Amino acid sequence: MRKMFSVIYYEYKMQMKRLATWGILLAATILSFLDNLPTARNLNRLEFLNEPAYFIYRVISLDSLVLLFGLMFLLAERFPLDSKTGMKSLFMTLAMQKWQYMLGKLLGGLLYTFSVLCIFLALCTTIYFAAAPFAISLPECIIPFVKAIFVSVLPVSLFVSFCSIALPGIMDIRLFYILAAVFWGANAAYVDSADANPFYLITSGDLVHLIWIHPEWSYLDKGSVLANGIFLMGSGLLFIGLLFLKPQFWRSE
Amino acid sequence: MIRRIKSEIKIIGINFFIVAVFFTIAVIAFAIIAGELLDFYSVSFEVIFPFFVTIIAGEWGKTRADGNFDIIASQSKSVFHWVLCRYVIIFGLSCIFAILSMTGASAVRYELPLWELLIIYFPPAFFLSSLCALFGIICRQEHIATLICGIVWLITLIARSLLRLPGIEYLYLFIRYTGDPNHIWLWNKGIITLAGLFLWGILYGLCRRPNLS
Repeated sequence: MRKMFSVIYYEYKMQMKRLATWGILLAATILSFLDNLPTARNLNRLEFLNEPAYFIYRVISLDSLVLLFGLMFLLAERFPLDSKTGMKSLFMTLAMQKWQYMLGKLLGGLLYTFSVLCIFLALCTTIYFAAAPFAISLPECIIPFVKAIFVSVLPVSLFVSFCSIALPGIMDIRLFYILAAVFWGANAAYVDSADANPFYLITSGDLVHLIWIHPEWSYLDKGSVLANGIFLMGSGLLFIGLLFLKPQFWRSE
Repeated sequence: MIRRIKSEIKIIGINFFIVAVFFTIAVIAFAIIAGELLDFYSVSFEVIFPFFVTIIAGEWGKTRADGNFDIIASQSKSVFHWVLCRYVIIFGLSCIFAILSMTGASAVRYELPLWELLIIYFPPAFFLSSLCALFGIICRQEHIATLICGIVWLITLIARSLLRLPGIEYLYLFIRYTGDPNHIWLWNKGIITLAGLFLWGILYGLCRRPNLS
């Protein structure tokens, strides 16, 4: 277990120290402010921007998709990079088992994705609270923020980190980039409607409607919420399973 | 030149051709199964295929992230010539697969003539892949150029609402995808192509710097 925790710690530390992580966070935050900052123009354009829950819902469903797309690129190279630099061979010479190495990488990536998403959401919410030209109480911001962490940030971090780390361990990283780009593009192109959203949406599935829902379309399909949650959490676990089953990933025990 | 092309194809490797064939077949299969409500050609050849070409340029057409870059930069007469050659070969090969996809898709679902598909496809593919080539010569780390271009692509896709601002429709990368309400798509494509050429001007300036390696 100690070895696994070491891998988690160093994986997290390496990722958080990367300049690219902070560059992506900055780009996503600027995009979020351009779209959602409660200026007079944005308040005119977005009917519900004076509600903190709507602001958090919008940041999660639109702007975090860009952040996650960037993080996906940084997470995808973890296993291929270790193979390329010889670190994996070095780990295999140690008394480290396959599950310790794999789980260390996956959980380190999950912790990293979760942290960056939380920092992003906290930053956007704090600036919204400070810049709003109308009165907002602290509970009005904190309650949807905490809801967003549990209903969206956690399952989405699980999905993105596990898929992005596990799949390049099974296939060529470049093929993974192409498939992921098509998937993210389909997510970006989808337009919300009164009907239940498809279950495969990462940040704009019906799970995110637990944070805020349009007053005119207030019916929430519980089946769709469940399907979205199962897809996000289940796919990540499925790809980990495929990775564990991959022969010749590790030395023969 | 033929020797150069053969050498670059050897460096690219078989994986590129496997992935490209798989992608071409997937696009043709999509053409068969996609419904009539989907604007198939704009989605496939203005949005998705150009980004596929960008990934190809960033991942298979590595320059500064190439392990031999320092030797090439110090020994070759012109780094720009090497970068351009590599880019042209990669982009050319990708365009061959794009044309095959267009031909295959038109055979099952004819909506637009081939020349119009090529004009829809070429400018965003050229601009995004040139941007990737530019960041490829700036960034030493692998995948960073593709990452930056990916974020630009995704933000452009999400930010369709910016079209309400005056003048943006002349610069928006995926104008036919948005429906081109003011019928300015040819102007749009010309401007984007010029922007791509401008990126190559910047790349030329960067390659001439003495401390590049």
